Amino acid sequence: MLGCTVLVTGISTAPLRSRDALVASACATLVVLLITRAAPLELLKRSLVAVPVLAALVLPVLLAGHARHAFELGFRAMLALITALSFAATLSIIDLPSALSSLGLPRPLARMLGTMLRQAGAVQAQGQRILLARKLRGAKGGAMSAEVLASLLTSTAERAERVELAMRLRGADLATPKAGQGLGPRDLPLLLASSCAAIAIHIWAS
Amino acid sequence: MDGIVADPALLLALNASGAGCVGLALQRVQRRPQRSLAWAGTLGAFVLAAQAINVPVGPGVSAHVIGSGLLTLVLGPALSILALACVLMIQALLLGDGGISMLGANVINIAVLPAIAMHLARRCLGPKAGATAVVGTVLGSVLGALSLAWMLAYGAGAPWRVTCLWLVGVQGVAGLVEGVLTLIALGHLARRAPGLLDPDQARLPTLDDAIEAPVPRPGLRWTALGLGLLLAWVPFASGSPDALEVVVQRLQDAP
Repeated sequence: MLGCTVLVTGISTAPLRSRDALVASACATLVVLLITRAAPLELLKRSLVAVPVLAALVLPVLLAGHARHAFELGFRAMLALITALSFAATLSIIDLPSALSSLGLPRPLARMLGTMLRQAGAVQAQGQRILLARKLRGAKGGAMSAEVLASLLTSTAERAERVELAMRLRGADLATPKAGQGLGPRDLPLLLASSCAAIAIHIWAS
Repeated sequence: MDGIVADPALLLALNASGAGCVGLALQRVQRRPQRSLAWAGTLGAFVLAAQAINVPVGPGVSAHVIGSGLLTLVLGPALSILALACVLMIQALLLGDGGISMLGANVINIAVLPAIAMHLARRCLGPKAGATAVVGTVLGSVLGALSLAWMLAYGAGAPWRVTCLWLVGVQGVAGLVEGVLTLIALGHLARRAPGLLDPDQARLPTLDDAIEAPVPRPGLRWTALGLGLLLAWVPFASGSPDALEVVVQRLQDAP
């Protein structure tokens, strides 16, 4: 995660005036893609979701008549996005709160983050159950009807209470890093490689 | 968005400012705990889903719902900032939305400024005034857009005037739509559980309460119902709830 942050920041701050820097950034992205072996279809899908946001941010530059600058901005942003998504594909969601906690994230934040991630799964599972129950009862109305969403949120909130209480009673503390977690010697090669790549992009540019 | 704002000094300053704001909010929450973190996390999960809903604000243009207005009114500004910061962290690290290097900037634009705007509107207009939700949300959106426009102009070389007009226009309309939705949700909340709209006075049940006295709590259910109705009023569910789907899919795939 730290390596990802370093490399993405390195690519994001690559000087646009240097074509070499952009080429180096593209090479770094390609290497990350090869190393992480992220599923291409999933990567494409996630990248396409971000394109409208990217377009909205680049559009003012384009409207001002700086087409080349807009293209370069968009290209660099896409490289950074693909790199971030490739790294994200290797992250384990279950371990994210404790990993962030071991990197210095305050425990209350880590705990809140863990709750959000768990509830995201609960929302989906509970929604599927409600939809199935409605279908079996022959109820009319789409998946986005008020009744479905109200039921979904009510039952999810109740379930959230039950799950949290059960975990608490069993002594679970998801925000506390497990033994052996945190930065260790096994993380150093990737962190060093990411840092070297980020530095190389900037040295190349100068 | 990574790669758009590239000035290293600006990025450093923005991330330090964002971290500072989160630190202050955290300090405030720890000093005066008003709400259960678990409940804030649950509300944050719905905001995570709500931010995948794009509001059409013009031909070919859309903006996503921020959700900070409702969170601020229900949780208070400090806890709202923390919940939104967590949402932004998940989006940046797992979904590639918002950008890792721009996390601090996003915290300022999406969490801090809208929360402050809503808090000010609440102070000036009163917690029960209908205009509070609309004014606070629109003001928050416009402030966030202005801040983003400044960042783009300073850090990406974008022309200030065009950028400002564009972003403020888009976010202003989106804020108005979101403000009306927040107002509808608050209407339901005010009828069902009026105490929830006063973060200083109202007290939601916490996990400690549940351990000590496991009694039914209708307020929680009505809050959830209000949020459900809020989402149900959105007639344009976008084709991108995949932000949530990706998280769920990966949760299921995780060992």
